[in-house]
Amino acid sequence: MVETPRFIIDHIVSDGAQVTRPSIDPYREPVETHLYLFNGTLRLSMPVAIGGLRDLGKEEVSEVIRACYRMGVLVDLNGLTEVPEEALRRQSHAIAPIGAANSSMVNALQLTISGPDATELETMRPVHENQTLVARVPPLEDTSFYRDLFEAGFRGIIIDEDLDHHDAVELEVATSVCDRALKVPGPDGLPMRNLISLLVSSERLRSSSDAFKLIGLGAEVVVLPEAWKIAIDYRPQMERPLLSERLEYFLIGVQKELKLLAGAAGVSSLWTSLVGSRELFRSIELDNSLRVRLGVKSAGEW
Amino acid sequence: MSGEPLEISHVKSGCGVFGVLRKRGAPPISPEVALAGIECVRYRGSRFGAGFGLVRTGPQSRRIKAFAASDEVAEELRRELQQRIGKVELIGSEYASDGKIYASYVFEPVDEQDHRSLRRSIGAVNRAFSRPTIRARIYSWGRYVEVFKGIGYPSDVYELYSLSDKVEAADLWISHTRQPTNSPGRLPIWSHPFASGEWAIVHNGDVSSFGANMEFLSSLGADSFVGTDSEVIALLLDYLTSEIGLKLEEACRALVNPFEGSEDTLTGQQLSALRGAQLDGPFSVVAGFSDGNEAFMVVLVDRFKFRPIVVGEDENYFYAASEEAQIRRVSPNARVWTIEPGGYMIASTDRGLIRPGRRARELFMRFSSSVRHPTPTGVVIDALGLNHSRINSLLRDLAVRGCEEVSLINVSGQRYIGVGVDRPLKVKIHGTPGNCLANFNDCVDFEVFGSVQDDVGDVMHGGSVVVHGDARDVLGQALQGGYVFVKGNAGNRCGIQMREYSHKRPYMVIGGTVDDYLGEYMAGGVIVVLGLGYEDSDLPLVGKYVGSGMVGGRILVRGEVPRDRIGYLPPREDVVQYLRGLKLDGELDDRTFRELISAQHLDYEILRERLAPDLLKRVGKLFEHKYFRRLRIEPVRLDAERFEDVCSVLREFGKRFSLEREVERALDGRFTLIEPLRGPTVDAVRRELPKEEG
Repeated sequence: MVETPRFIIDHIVSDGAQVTRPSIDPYREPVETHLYLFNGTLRLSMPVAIGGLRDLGKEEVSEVIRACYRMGVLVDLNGLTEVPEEALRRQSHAIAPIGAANSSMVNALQLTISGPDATELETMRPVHENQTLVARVPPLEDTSFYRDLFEAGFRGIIIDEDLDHHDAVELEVATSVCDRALKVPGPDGLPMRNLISLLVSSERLRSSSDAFKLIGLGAEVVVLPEAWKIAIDYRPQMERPLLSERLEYFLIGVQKELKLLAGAAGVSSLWTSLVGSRELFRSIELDNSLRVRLGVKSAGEW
Repeated sequence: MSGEPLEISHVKSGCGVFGVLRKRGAPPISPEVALAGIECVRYRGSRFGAGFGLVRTGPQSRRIKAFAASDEVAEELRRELQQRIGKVELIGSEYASDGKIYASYVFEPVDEQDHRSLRRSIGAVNRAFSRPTIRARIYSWGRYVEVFKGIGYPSDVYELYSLSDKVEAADLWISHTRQPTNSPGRLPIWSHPFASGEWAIVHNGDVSSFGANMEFLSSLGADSFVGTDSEVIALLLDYLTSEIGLKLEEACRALVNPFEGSEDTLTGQQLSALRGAQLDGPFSVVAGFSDGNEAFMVVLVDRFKFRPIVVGEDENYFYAASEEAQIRRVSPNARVWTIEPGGYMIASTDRGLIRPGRRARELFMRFSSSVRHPTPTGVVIDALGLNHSRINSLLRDLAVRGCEEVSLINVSGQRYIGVGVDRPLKVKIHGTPGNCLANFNDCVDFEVFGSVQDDVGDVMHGGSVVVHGDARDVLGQALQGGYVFVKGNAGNRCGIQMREYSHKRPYMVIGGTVDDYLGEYMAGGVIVVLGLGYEDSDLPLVGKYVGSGMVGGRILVRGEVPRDRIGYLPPREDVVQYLRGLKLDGELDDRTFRELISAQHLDYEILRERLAPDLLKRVGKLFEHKYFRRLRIEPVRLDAERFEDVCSVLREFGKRFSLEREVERALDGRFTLIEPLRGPTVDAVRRELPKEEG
């Protein structure tokens, strides 16, 4: 039984390894899932982050923050009204909620307009050099918008599909458009894309495989605001050790699945080989115009 | 074995690569050497592509070379080129086209342009001639680098360009024979070498990072590709060195991308800046480069070492090849060594060996350079010009006729020697046997006066293989009877999946050192690494991932084995991060935290020693998976009672190589025993733990 495709992502398949490009068994040989964000200043153990903490109790939020820190993954605090004490002590691995900016954390600024103009971006420049400023934006299909964000000095972009916008497109398209928009020479002759980090988030993301494909379309980190709650059978007021234990096992499970998916494609390093590597993917039953917008070839295409 | 003897009539293999570089003061290299080095492994390729590349230093004029469908297209291309880079002359074609194949045309620009704008112009012209189908393609445009490639075997392409008559000796040659996989072999544009600027490369492999690499190159302005993973390697080397300004070594490290935790891993900052330039999946690459003053040979191999590569040197030259037999063909007494997984070798005409391809420089120095060649005994067969089928049928006939001993002389790369010989026979091999020696061997005793290549003794049930030189990769895979002795060093993945039965236990003894994955998936038998000659050195005798996935058998390594080389561990950074979290949570005291993170190895055993069971359970989840087995790692002496069988095998090893004294000395010393811990699995231990409260 195969579920009926619901999203674009369900029409995208990984171009697997074959005889001359052997698969890698991640149980016995290394498949690297770690990555660096913000010009190498933050190492994460895997390209998946936890979000969706709005409805959690204060103690539960703290438990999630602690578990994420131990596991070396980012936690997206968006939706909270204030930064919990726990997060301040673990600020390297937390993204501050909108409106609760803290100068030494990863701060997200929400842009709700379809394209910021120069003066508006001017006001968003980092207060001081060490500040890691990321832009939280709805999924837009606008090349110059993403380049403007780079020019404005943002060190990261979070494309959040759960932000409403009248011009919003599917996350798959926006991810690929953003990734490709930044694939131009930047300062020091390096690709602009390599000087800014791209994160994506959506409540509809279900699995490691969804994350794997979004990484292939250009995301460095995929935030899962809902999937983890379903997977660990989250309930309000659940026992805190149980919450963190299950969350940790969930993350380990996701990491293993990502390794298996990468290994099956003959890839031993997700971050360096997979991010934006659309050539490793093919699409099934997608029309040509959408394929072009995604930058993904059709199945069977050389 | 019963029934019809196993006969392998056809050899099919991956691509073959070869490279040779002149040392300062040595005579320049004639194209014949490049041909001899690659024709030796003709069977690695097919008629679908071969080629040669040279590097010449000193004042040279630039030659722009393109394949074109006809003289008219070539003229059109000249005009297009002229529009961009000033006056261009069409010198002529290098061989006549019969209309079915592209001819190769040579152009000379009158004015010199800077490297970047020339590369941009070449890209633009190539792009213009590739829509909707490729009508012409510039494939070589260096001042010091020149490529000759086409369809056919290496000898065909050599003839096509009349290399021996028309092309003079050079500082460096690379050559290639192709077995196409992911791009067609009907046009010469897909043949190797691939060149960009002053770089030319030949490649064996199939790069899984191809998409990411293309994206990286596109970000820097590269906009025309023929669509093979090999082409991007040449482009990456050119862009990284000429556009981003990396030094040779930095560019090599960026491409091979050693695993996190290796001593030459790139920093997070470097990786961020260069993300997308890393090669993944299988590759072995031989590259030539020149800045005009000196010529460089660069050899790269992937982090798993999924493709074969050996390098060597003699008084006058450096070599690189897919198989040792290639190097021995042109320089019988060269010193040959292997490159470590994720390693790179750099040599130059002026500076000699800059990087040996092994992190510990001393290690490669001890690889056997010359082997004593005794007078052949028994029935002597000259293997020169004989293929493996002929050799094996001669061996079978002799065995049937009751012959006891055969000497094969002048062996040079023939594969499968001894396969299908099902009666006891002593086979002495003089020279370099090809891959898959003694596969499925049951009763033949092989003795090799030289080194052996890859995949020796695969699924061997009995008999023996005694090697007086070195062995390369995948030695004794699924070895399940008899013994394999190597006097020198062995390569990657030795003794993987070895196994034993109640009445049969295989032994593998290595006199020198081994690389990564020793005894991976091992299920039985005994491996001993003696490290003879390394007694006074601190260098580890084994590579990484020793005994990973091991479920049975024993590995004995003389001296101490760094614990982080045993098994397959989660990334150290992840474990440290977990402990850091526990410390912040107030669950781990600062002192224990500091002790743990400053420990040289951060494996399951040290956590077990230092952490309370509840904390071990929590951090232990990073280590566990369904195949996780704890290993017993124990310093031992080989006492006669517990290791009776091992001692007698080692004494036999000493006798065979006249190393009795060295072996006795080793027997007096300490070994590290590695074997799966028989006892409760981690799961069982977990079940015994008290239930967590709250």
